[in-house]
Amino acid sequence: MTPNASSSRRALRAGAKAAGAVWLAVIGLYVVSGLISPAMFQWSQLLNILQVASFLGVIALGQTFVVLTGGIDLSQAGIVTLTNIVATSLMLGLNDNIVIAVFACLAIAAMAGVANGILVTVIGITPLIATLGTNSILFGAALVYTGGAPRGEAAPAFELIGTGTVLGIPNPTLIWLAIGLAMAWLTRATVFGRWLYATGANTEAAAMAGVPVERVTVAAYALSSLLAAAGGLLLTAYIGSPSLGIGNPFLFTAIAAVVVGGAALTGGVGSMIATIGGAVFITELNSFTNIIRVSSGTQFMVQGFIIIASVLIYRRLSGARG
Amino acid sequence: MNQSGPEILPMPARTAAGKAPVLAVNGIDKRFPGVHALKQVSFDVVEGEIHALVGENGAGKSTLMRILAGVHPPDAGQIEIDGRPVSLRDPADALAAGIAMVYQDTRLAPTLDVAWNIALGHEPGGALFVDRAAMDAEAAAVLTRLGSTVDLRAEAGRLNRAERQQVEIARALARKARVLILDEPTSALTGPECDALHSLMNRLRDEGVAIIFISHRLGEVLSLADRITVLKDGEVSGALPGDAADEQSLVALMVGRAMGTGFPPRAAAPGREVLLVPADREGSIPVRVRAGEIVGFGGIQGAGQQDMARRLFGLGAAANDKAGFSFLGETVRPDGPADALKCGIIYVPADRRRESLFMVHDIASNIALPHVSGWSRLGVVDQARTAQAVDAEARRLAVRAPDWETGVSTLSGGNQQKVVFARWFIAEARLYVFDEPTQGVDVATKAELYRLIRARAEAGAAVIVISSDLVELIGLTDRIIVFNDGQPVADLESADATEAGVIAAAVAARSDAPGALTPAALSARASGWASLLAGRHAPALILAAIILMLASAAALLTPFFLTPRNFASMAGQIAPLAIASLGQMAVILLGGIDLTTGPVISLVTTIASHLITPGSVWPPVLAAALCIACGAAVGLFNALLIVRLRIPDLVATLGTFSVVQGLALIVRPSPGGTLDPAFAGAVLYRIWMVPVAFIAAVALFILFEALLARGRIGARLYATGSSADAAMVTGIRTGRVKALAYVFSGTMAALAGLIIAARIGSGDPQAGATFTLASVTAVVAGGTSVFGGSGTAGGTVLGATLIILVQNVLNQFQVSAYWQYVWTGVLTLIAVGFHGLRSPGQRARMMLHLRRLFQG
Repeated sequence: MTPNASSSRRALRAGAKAAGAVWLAVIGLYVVSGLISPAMFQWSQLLNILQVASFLGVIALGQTFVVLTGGIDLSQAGIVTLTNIVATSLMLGLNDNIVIAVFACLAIAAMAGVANGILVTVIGITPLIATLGTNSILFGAALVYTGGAPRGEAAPAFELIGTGTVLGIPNPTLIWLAIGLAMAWLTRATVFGRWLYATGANTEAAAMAGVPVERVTVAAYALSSLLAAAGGLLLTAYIGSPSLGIGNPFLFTAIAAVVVGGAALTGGVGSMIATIGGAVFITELNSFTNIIRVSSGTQFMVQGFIIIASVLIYRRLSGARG
Repeated sequence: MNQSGPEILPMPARTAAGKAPVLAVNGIDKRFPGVHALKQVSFDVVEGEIHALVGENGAGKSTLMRILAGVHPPDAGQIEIDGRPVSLRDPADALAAGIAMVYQDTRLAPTLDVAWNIALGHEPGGALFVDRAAMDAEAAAVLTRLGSTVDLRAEAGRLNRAERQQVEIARALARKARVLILDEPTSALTGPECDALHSLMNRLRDEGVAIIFISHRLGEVLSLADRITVLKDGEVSGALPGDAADEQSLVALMVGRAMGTGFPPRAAAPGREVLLVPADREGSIPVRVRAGEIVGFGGIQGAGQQDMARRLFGLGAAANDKAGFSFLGETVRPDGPADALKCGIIYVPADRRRESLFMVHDIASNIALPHVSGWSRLGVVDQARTAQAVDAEARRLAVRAPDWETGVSTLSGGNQQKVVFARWFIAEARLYVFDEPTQGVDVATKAELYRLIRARAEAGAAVIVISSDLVELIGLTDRIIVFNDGQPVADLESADATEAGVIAAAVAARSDAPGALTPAALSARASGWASLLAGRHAPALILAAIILMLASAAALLTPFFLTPRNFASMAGQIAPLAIASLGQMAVILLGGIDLTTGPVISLVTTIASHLITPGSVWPPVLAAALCIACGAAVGLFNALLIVRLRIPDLVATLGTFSVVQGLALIVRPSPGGTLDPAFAGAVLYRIWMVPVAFIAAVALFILFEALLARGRIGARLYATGSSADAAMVTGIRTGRVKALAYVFSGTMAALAGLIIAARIGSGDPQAGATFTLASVTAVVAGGTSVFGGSGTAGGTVLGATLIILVQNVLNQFQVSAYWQYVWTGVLTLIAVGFHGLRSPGQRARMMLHLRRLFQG
């Protein structure tokens, strides 16, 4: 056929390659790190990675919604911290308080997410600055609420969610994968999913095609916040105690997981399944660098380079020009 | 003049004078994805002639001109200036060669004034500062030569279309251009404005300028041009002397057939009235469209035809339109596209890339999008039904692609338009509005699109087509409604219409139209200036008022606030933040953001705590210089990622953020070390209680403000930030400007880091943690637009002052330091929100989004 046709077929093949690339990277890194440090090949270490990855994984699923709209959510870190503080302080180690604590956390997250969405889509503030602002407010709220010295602890029944296993698989991992599949279905099979991708690819054109872009955007930020809260609750169930620094690492790693999964920060491109791979990759990398006793500074540097490299590699894979 | 007779020459005609061409191109070839835009095109222009270039939409005229202006490189072929081959790699090269282009959609930097836009890229003056008086004088001279009365100090973004064009021509002449390219210069001008431009073109020709003139209006082409070259489908189909051509022969060369053929037959008998827009001003006529007919909207660009079409679709100012219009006998007033679509109205916009297509998605999802909610149950899309409907429609319209999973970005303009048609032809709408449906579409596909549009009408829909191509407008439609000065004024039968008739109705002076410069208009303008002057410094003034109020309140309420000690302490805190914010501002002025400010500050404190220690082998000055070089290196790395590797600002500096934070942790994993007290003392030294660091910050800010207001680099920052395209066509190398801004930002962060290191007396890998957000807050609170192009250094310094002041006041009242995070966040959101909603238009848009968000 025409040269045009063959080039687009090439683009298609490249697209399929791009979607699977993160899983190849996950397997490749696992094999390489296992060869260097055989401890990585132990079943317990594999389960440990999947358990630790679940917290980041759930949060990154939320981030994916916002990135698909062409935005970014830097307030997830604040949500995770505030969730951890509020949940432990309301539970005070008592099973009776679990429901109210979980409900309070999800309500706070929903409000923060809707606020982010309104700031972005109604007031027209760029997502980076809007969510950086709300992150500061959320983190400040956690500091003010605790006076800098958090108290309280998770209830025993709640901790089971974080520490228990089913058929040897950690609960958080199972919950993460279940949420992941549900979100993959939501983005791929539903009208909302179609609208989400369209809004991110070209907000103007989506509105011209009758897509309710304002509602889609607010829903994306709300889902991002709610999933950050879910991740924070899982983490609280796992750790059991409050800590003001608990959310900080996710500010960066949640975005890193999404970018490593191949989503474009310009919007409209990405997938939930690939983000799951991205979360595994980032956790695997941290675990490996921990085993070989690399300093935390080096870990930061490696993550930074991974983000930059991912952008370049995915651009090459998708065959995009310039 | 050429006397060689009326026969059509295959090669460019030589003028009788036998002058050698100033500019000649030979065998130019250019391909874009899916399209062979230019095939072996040869063309030349000599001194003192007007050489017209005509052809249908998509014939390749604009592509050829862009190649001459250095915007696109050709794939093959040669460009010669005065017989010598040249390579035009960018607009700077073309300008240096004496080629200047006046774009159809003018390219001026909207936030710079007229004089500066004329001089941009070659301003008189020294290396750093521009000689404003000389610049004004030069601009005034060239505008006078054009007979233009545009105000030199008017901001370009506030000029009307004709004024912007005059400024662009002035810019070209100020560059001593020998070849002036005018791309459809009259398409948006009124009758008198056209006449003025025509006489100017004749004058410039007499002065020896070589003019290349693109126009759709054959009448003006025939009356002005010395030579005419016709492009058809990317090839030169003819070149002939102006006095040997007539309308028929040109059209035959353009479309390869006789005029009026090639279009589907007109409607036999239209049905019931579908649309009625009542006349809303004296002298205008109602717009009626019946089922089964195609009504064309004609007129000069921006005369109201597009506004009317968008109003039908609930867009633009029409969103708050109370009057509404009659549709199928009922009064409707759609408040947005979703609403209009529900009524059965479809609008196919002219700008496919911006308003129609999802370039990163495939054909299938582009076609299916508006229909999936109908093809779903409980919110779940019926995939099989979707695939089948898409396949059927794409086949029916003969979209050419291997399969429907092909990305639309790989398709030609014509195929892309077919995808858009397929999307909208699945629905059975009652009214279709096509806005410039054949723009950027190849000739073969155009005929198919005409048939498809006619078929819609034959199937019973009412159809409106907006077109600036008069051949198309007359050939395709049944009736033509001509717009003039915002209003429909004439209703012509297409079968009897002529190009001249349509143009006459479009440019006729209207008795009720306001005169160009009535006293009322002049005074309205003057008040516009007053508000503009207030505009540039308005945010700084507001901020200064807030700071004064806050300081007065604090002075009344706490005794310690007014003490010199407190002021000195505040000044010492303001200095590093203000300096870091200046760097951040340079980046934000370009519409970017630098997230690495905080980590660079942390990194510099850790490095300083190793190098600038008591008894260190490093001389403190050298060590300090090394720290600053580190900051500059981080900026350079960011610039490399963003400019060279073209990674978006956000993700690039996010990556660097982590890298630099990691470096800081490697250099010093936890706070510690001791800084040389002598060095710290020098940095923290106070002259009569005033810290020298603060004095340095103020000096830097004054210099930066001066550079912004009068400096070469300031104009480059504003121009690149407000419109990179506009900056590029004046020869500014926007990549270098961007790189410079990031290096500056890194350097300023490093400087701030040295001050912080001196203050804490040690190294801390988290010392800068709060500075990224704080610097962004200071910049945006100071009124700099996050979209780039406007802002003042004064505002930024006041923004930094406000942040420190609030912190200080809260401390005085014993409020927990933890509140700092909360109010910094709140302040950021209020500041950005406030500045983003200053204009009534922005507020109206906000209300619209709010309504769409919450209404059923």
